[in-house]
Amino acid sequence: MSTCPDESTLLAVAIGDSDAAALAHSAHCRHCAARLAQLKTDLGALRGVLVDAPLPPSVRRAARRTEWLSGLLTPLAAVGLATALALAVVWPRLAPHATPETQPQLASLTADVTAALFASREGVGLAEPLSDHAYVVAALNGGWPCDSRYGNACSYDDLLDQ
Amino acid sequence: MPSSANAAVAEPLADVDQLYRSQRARIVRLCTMLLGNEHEAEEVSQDVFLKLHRAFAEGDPDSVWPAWLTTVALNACRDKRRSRWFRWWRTSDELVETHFAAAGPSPERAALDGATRERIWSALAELPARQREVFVLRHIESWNTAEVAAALQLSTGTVKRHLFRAVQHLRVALRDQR
Repeated sequence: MSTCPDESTLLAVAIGDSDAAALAHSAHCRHCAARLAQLKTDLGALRGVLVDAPLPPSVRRAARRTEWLSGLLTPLAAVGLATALALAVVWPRLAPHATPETQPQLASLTADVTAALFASREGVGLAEPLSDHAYVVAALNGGWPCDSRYGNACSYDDLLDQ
Repeated sequence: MPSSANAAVAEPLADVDQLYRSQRARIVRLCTMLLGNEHEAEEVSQDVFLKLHRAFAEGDPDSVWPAWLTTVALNACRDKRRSRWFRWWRTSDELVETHFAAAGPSPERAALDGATRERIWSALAELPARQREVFVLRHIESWNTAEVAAALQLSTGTVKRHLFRAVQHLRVALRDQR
C-alpha cells in the first residue's frame, strides 16, 4: 500500500504545517519530491502573479467602470430629484382647475367635442338626441350610447344593422 | 521650544507617515486581492490608513502595526463586500481575457503571461470569500495557520481545508492552457 501523502498533506508540507513523518517521506520518495517541487513552483507562481506582477486589465477595467457609473449616477439622481420636486411643488400651481367661473366654458367645450366626435348623417335625424354626457361616456368606453329609439343599439355596427 | 504635547503628537505622526509609505502598496494589493477591483481597493485603503492615524493618536504601544493594518484591511474589505451595491457590482462585472505573447515554459514565466494572469485573478475572484481570505492571509501574508484561525475565528482544521481548496482552484487556473 502506498504511503505517499495526499495532496492536502503535501500542501501542509509545502507551507511548513506538516508533521515530521510526511516531511521525511517527501524527502526520500522521488515521486513525492517531484510532486512537492511542482506544488512549491505553483505556489511561487501564484504569489508572483498576485503580489508582484502588474494587475490584469480586468481588475483595472473594473476601476474605470466604477468611475463611469458613479459619474453617471450622480447627475441622474440630481435630475430625478429636481423632477420630483417640480411635480410635487410646481405642477399643482400651474395645472388647470375647474372652478365655478370655468364651468360654462368646460360645458361648451364638451358639447363641441361631442358634436365633432359623433357628427354623422344618422345623428341628424334624432328627434331627441341623448345628452352630451351619455355620448361622452359611451365614447370613453369605446362604444356608442345605447338608444332605446334604435332598438337599444349600443355600437356603430348595431346602428348600421338597423 | 516645542511643548511636550506637540512633541508627543509629532513623533507618532512621523511613524504614521513612515508606515504609510512602507505599507500602502501592500495594503492596496491585499485589498485588490480581496475585492478584485483596484479602484475599490484604493478607497478602502484610504479608510484603513485613516483608522491607523486615529489609532496612533490614541496610542497603542503594543500594536504590531503591519499586522494591525492587515486585520483592519481584511475587515474593511469584508464590510465593502457585504454592501448590496458592491455585490451587485461584482456579479455584473465580466472578465475578458487579453492575450499577450507567450512566455517561457516554466510556471513562473507562464504566470507572468497576460492570459494566465487574467485566469488567476479571475479564479481568485471566483473563490468563496472565506477561502480567499484564508489564502491571502496564509500564503500571501505568510501568517501561520493558528494566526489565520484566530483572525477569522475559525478552527485550524477549517483553515487548512479552505487553503487546500483555494490552492487547488488556483492551480487549475494556473495550469489551464486554453
